[in-house]
Amino acid sequence: CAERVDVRGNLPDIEQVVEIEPGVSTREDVVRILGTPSTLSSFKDRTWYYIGQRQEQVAFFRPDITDRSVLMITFDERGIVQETRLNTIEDGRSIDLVGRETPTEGRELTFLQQIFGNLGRFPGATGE
Amino acid sequence: QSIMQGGVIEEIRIEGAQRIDPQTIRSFMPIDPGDRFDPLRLDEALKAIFDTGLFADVTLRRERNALIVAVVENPIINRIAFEGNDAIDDSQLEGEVELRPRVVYTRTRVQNDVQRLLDLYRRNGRFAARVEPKIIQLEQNRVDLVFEINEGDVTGIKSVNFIGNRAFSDSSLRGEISTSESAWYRFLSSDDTYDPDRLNFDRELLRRFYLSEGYADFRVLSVVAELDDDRSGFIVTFTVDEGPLYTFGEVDLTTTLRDLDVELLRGELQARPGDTYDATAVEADVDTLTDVVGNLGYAFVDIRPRTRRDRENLTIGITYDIQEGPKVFVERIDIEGNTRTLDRVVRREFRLIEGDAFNASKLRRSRQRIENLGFFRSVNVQQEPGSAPDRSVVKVQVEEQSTGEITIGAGLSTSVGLLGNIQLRERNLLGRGQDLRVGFTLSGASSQLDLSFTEPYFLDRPIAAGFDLFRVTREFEESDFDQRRIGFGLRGGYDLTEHTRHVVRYRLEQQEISDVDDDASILIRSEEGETVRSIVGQDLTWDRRDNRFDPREGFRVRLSNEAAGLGGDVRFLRNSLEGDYFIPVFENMTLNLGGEFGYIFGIGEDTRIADRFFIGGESFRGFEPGGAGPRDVDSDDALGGNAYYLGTVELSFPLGLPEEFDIRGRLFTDIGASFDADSDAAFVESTATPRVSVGPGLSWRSPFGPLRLDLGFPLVKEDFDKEQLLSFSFGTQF
Amino acid sequence: CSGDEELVYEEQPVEELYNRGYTNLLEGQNDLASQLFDEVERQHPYSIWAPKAQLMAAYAHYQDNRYDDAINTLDRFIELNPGNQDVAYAYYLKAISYYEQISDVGRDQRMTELALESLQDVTRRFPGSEYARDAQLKIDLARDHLAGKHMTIGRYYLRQGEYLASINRFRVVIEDYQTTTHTPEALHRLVEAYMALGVTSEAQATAAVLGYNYPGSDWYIDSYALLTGSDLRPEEDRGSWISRIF
Repeated sequence: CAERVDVRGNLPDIEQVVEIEPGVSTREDVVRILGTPSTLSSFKDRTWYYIGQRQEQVAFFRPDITDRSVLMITFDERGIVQETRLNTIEDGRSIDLVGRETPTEGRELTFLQQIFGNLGRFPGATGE
Repeated sequence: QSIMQGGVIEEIRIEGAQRIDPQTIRSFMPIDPGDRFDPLRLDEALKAIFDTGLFADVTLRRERNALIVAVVENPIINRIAFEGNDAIDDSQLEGEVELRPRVVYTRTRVQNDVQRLLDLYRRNGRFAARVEPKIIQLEQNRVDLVFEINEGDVTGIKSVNFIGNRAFSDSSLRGEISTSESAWYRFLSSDDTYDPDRLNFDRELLRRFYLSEGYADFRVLSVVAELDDDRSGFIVTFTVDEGPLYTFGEVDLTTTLRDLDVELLRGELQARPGDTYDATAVEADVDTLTDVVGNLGYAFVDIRPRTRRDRENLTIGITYDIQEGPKVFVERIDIEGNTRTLDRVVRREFRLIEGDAFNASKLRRSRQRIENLGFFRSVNVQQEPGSAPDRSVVKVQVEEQSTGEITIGAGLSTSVGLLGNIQLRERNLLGRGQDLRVGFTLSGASSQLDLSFTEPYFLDRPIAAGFDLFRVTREFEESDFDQRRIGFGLRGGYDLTEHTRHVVRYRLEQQEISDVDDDASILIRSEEGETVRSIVGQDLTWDRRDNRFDPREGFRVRLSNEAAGLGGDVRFLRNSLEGDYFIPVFENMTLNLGGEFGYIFGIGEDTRIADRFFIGGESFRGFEPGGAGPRDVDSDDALGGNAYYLGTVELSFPLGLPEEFDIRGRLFTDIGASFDADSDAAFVESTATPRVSVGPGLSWRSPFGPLRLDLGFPLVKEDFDKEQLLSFSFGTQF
Repeated sequence: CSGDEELVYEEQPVEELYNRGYTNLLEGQNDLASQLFDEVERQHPYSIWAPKAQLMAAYAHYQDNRYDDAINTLDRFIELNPGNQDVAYAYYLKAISYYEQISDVGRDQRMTELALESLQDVTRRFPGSEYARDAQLKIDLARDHLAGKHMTIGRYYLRQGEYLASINRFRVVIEDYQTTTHTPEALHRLVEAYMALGVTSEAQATAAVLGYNYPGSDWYIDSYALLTGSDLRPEEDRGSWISRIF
């Protein structure tokens, strides 16, 4: 049975990545070639990220990631590309996420309110 | 003295202000004491005060160096009433007008409301309606506002005619447009009232119809609606120029995408050289190509069909140009209006993730999936510019609707007699997208209590997992015993591909056969008492029908297997395979070819009556339930068969009655048999030779509920079979 | 609660109407009270009691949790009496009417946004008033709530393995909602996402900021464990602009 191929995020072709030359390309060049960065580094100055992956998914199984590229581009003060580094799927690590969540308030609708609360409020199938 | 003589304003006094305090009026004026008497500034002040809409009149005058602002406040509305309306009731009119009691009355607001009322009447087909606003002065500058309405009568559509149509008859064209001729049975719908906007919409419907039938040069020359002589209705005339019939010429695919082999895609296309030209097929091709190429991992796909019209040999060549679309990424997906449903229940239906490349067909599919949830009255998805030229924000606005249902149903069917049921269902429990259903059905011969719960995304994956609790009691007259089943079931279902679904299930059930008539078959008497069944099963369904409720095209195949024996006292393997094939025939008929067969065998023991196959009633028309299978001829009880096969050929066709009645006639022939009752006792008759029945049927989706009536005449049967001419079922929900 | 009986329409002197309304309000008959106060305004729009009655009607609606009616009445009061000495209370009551409808983070946050807007109205127009102090407190809670929504969506994407989508959501929290209670968790989730992608340098820099600003928090302990688990240390990136603004 056919699996579904999906591309997530911004997965640039190798030819495009090669066009970016450290010491020569400027920010404008990078945006022209790869578009706006997928995300910016929060805590490292002048660092852009282009993150993308290709994955195949069959039915409900976890999609298996066939190709991932995390391209990190750092610029010097004058806005010229200083260094580019490419991480691929091999660098990925499996981590287990912390279950704890910061609490939030807000009126959580009680169970009964849920069931009968909106029978009358929205003119629905029976409410008309 | 006149305002024009200049000099300095020493003081500003407000006169005539009763309700609005002078300090507020001063705040509207851009002039203060100490400014000069400058006519331009004064005029500005006058306009500013007037624009607030709070005043009927404002005048400025000067007394020595004091500026006097005399205002007459607009009255406050005390009450609003409507007179002379009966087609539309007061509350609906009230909802239409903006003015409310205790709000400031202004002439412009009243005029706007009069126009709103006229539009409301126009939408209900009353073009001759007239609305007169009347004012009743009350003390303290208050007024009562009365809208005097003269509704006039409904201007219906006397007749709809077409000029210049050669290929299609007037009646078939009337079927294509939404405006219809006034007729007594259309009292519910307002389609038969004159509405210019709907006529424009019809112009478009006609164009799309002709384009899908090969008339590429089709044009609607004019749409004329004139009142007939007694002014009671309109005569609508469409003048059309059909132009010649075109067929598809060359169909080819070009692409600028690297290493995409276009020849592979040719198979997916509906437009084929030589077929009659069909604009909707081209649109469908663009969609399929976008999907298929998108699924091959190409992020930015933009398909442009280019047509080449060849007027000599009347062909239209199509070139699907597959190009790289604009590089736009989804910056964020915002979901709004979900006051009850959780954000993730909507977000998980999205085929796009934040940061992904924007893809129109994936967005369309996502919208369809959100609509299919059935939780929202409306789902609209917009694309708004993001924080950079190549980024866009997807905004999803949903409008919740009540997903709680209390359905009380009644029905009558030959197999169970009169039945009543009540079902409480919440399809969006706690806004988490979970489905909880509690149902109770009672009928002459059976009672059923069941509860079922389903979580569509078990463990955040697209697995629909759920459990069921049930208690079913059933009296089997055809076999003279009562049966009670209590138990619970677990199930998990997922989509293998877009059209194939696989469900795995487990059921633990305690079954009791009781008060067996003493003249019942000894085989049945031997099975009296309690048995426990622990059953693991699976269903694999491949469903390519065009729709589930009234399929007109496509097919469905389902394989189900059950194994009982992991614990429990009964061990068997039960398998069945079903197939249904729907073929559209002639104008509006459907031919349904159906077939199924099943086989059960006990593992190291005989099968029991409750597990064997009983065919008849609705599954084999012309025979009683279990009426075409093994039978204990002494006690005349049906024993059910270890194996069965069934075939049906059915043609369903419209009865020529108008569309609104939704009645279809049917002609069918059923063929089949069930056999092998795991017993070679002399008094057991069982044979695999096919029985055949034939007959007419009727199905009507009435406003009260679906009704199905079949008359089955058995042509070929065994002497020990039991016939049943009428098979009938009617269910209503209110 | 109070029945919804329609008040029969009869002209009455203003004091009587007002007092009947007031007594009903005290007895908890809010619906009847709001209708009586509406009558005061309808029959005697020019009396000095009219604005007061409008405010009382809004309060009655609010008591019965009929927030939409309360807000509409207050809007009309503000439009007609911008100079009235009770107008600060009107703005405040309107803000509270929105605030009490805030639903949990999993659902549409339109009410939170409307509450935030009208609360900021109160603090901007009446900075000194005691209403402003309470409004400021509620503003922080409303912002914390909006940050909570971004966190829920971020965690959803993180659990689905959609790291880029989750990173951008957590960045919204640490850049636009720094002062909320969700920032430490957002920082830790960034560490988790970047570690999963294998971008250890970014993970270390983020963990360093988390440690520097929230040293005792459980989130820092988790981040530290995550890094040391793969023998890395949180190292601050000297030049990063974020350490200057934190």
